[in-house]
Amino acid sequence: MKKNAVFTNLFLIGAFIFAGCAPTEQVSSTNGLVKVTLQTDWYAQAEHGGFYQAVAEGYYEDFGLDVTILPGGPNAMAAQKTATGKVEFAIGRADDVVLQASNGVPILIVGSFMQHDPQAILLHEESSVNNFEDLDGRSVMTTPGAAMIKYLEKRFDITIETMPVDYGMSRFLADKEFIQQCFITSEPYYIRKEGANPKTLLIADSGYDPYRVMYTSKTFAQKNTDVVKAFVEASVKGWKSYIAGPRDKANEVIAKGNPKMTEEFLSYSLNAMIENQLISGYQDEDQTGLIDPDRMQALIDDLFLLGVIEKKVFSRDLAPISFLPEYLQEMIDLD
Amino acid sequence: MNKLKAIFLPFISGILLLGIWYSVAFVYAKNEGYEVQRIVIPFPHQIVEALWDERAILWIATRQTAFAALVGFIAAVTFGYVLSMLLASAVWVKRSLYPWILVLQMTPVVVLAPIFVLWIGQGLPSITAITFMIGFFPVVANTTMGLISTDRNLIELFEMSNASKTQEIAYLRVPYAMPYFLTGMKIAGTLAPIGAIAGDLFAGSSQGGVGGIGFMVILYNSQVKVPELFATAFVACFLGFIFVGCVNWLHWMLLKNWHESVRATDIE
Amino acid sequence: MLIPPNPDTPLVKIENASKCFGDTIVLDRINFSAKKGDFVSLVGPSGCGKSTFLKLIAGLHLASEGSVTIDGLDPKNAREEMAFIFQDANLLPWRRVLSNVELSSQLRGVSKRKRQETAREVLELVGLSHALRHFPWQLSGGMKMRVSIARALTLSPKLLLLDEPFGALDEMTRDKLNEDLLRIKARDGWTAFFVTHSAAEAVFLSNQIIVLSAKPGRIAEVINVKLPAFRDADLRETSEYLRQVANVSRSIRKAH
Repeated sequence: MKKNAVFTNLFLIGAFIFAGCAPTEQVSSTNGLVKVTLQTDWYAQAEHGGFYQAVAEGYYEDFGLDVTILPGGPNAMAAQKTATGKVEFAIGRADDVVLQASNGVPILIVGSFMQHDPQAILLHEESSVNNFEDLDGRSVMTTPGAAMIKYLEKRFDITIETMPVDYGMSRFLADKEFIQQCFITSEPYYIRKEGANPKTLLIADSGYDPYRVMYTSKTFAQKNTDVVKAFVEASVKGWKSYIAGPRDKANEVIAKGNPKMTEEFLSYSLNAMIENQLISGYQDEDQTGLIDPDRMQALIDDLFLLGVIEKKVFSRDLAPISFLPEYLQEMIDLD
Repeated sequence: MNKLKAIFLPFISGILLLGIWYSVAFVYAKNEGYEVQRIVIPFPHQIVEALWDERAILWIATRQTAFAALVGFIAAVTFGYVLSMLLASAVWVKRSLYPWILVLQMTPVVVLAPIFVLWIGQGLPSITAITFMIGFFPVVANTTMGLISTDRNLIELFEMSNASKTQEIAYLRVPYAMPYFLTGMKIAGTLAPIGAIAGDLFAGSSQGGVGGIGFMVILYNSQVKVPELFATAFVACFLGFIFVGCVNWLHWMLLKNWHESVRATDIE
Repeated sequence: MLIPPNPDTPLVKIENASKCFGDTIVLDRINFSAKKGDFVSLVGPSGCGKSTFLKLIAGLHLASEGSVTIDGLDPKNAREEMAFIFQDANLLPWRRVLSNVELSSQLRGVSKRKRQETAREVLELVGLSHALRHFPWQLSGGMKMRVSIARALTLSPKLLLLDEPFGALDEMTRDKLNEDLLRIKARDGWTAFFVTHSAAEAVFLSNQIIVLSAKPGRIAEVINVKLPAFRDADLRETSEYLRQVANVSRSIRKAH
């Protein structure tokens, strides 16, 4: 009798665990639209503007999608959610996604939305650091294990100590020699607001230049190729439109989701993106959304050489171009 | 017979748990694919594999965390004991200080962490301070309790011998409070590795991408290295056991001859 | 020049002593004297202030009114001459038997060699020579009490104050300890105040019994025990002894 009770309990525990694991690959559709969710990597901000634009302007609907945007935060765990089918799409920086994929997380990069990453080193104007070489022996507050730090160390033959980000600015403001990572589109605005003078070193200028990308799970991509293609094309359209304007409706949604996003701040971020050609790229031609397999492979090779990823992988497997809109694919052929 | 059972039963239940783990992971893998299973509920052998592959890094991380935990723990015990003596020395001292110690204790350490970092800097100093903050209150609370709750009759016995205040403290109050102090120390010992890991999460720093255990948790999590995350949990658990084991041993050594708490387990 | 002590001079003198805790009067105008060598038992219903009476003599409580003197001294200044034996043995659990017994002399700064010698001596007297290295938890209730008595004897006190020391022991152990106590008293000749619930114990040990009445505690009667000075176990079977026990029991009942 007693033994039976033990087994019953174990069975119940087992059943409980399984209950949370129902398959999630099927996409549900309401009124003819396919419902999907996009998990971003942070709270609503201008750096996600294109996606909000695509929702606000109805581009996703035009492509047969009903997209919900789920803002992230410090513990978004976007890759886990995507791989386990809790969300269909997520965004992130290419190097992070490559690292996760090479660790066996079954995800696939399907398109980009920023040609260049806004990640930068944030310094005080008075700081004794003026270029990447000066970072030698200094301590930088950054995401643990950041590949960009390893790149900088190797490229400039320097050593950098790191400490985890606290997602705050108080320590930076308290210490004129403090160094932390930032978005060139974001933190400098706050620092000025607080009466300090920031200067920045854009990581992309060091030669370490990952895309910011959209990704989905391998299974979802296999089973819903059309949905993925539609999502990528509509998102790219959203980004072009957000940069070109008008963008009032999208900004309204962003501000609603994140009250810190004042009109002034949003336009600061936008200008920074335009000024640094983060979205469209450094070429004359508008490359918004493009993934150049050669450039992607170069990044992957760098990561391999840096020991960030342990096995050699290929851009064609991790970031196939087949989900890009035709006109972007043609651009690659021309190169 | 009992001894055999004591080894045998946990062994059997361990095998059983392992079996359940494997079957849950296996069924999950059948539904979701092995790649997803690996990052949600890895097989035990995948965890062992991760533990082996990451052994060098985890060893450094464990050493770092153990060191921070030890320093914070020793500081908490020493400072806690001295403060308790002070608190127990006179009623007015306790009345005036104790509420403020409570206020400090009630402030969650996660809130204090960024302030520590601001004041004394990133890395070991802050991690140690956080460990100290978590550990020192149980020591103070228990030791003070022991020092002031000394048996009235024993105090009268000392009074009858015209004992001086110093004699009363040295020969009566301090030994009398020993079990209380050791209980506080046991709690502090249990909390110390937790404090050091939590401290690491807020104030950790790293060289060459290796920090303490908390730092590795952030790192593995951001890279979706789930088997490695489980391996880290295993290592943290191991560290906790070592800490608690040592403190319990000390507790036993000091009290085995006289105190109920130890004798009760000693006599079958 | 030493003045030879007058044997009739009282060792303990209580004059008009009262003790109040807040508004509660526990002891009310007590007058009593005890000569050297007296064995005085305090009996009475619970809550009559027997223990308080004893602690007034010990100086652990101060009289609210009136005075208590030991050999003409204030109790607090006469501690050298007193030893107190508590209700429970009151041993330090972290000390072995020998060093528990040493405690009193250690606190008074007696040298280690000297105090160990004395401790061994008194432990032999109470029949515990075999248990020097034991910890208190290894002892029975009776043995613990013997250690407690031994500790009290180390300083050769003139006055022994015993606060219901054998209350928690079984009858056989208690009888044996009573006999031993008288044996030791015959050797050392101290004066004793002894709190007890038991009329039989009081009669067996004492030459005087104070019966206290309760609320407030007053001396209801002082009974002189008329039994031979030498007493042993056989005394308990005599009719005179039994008559006196009955007499004390009656007196306690009346005091209620």
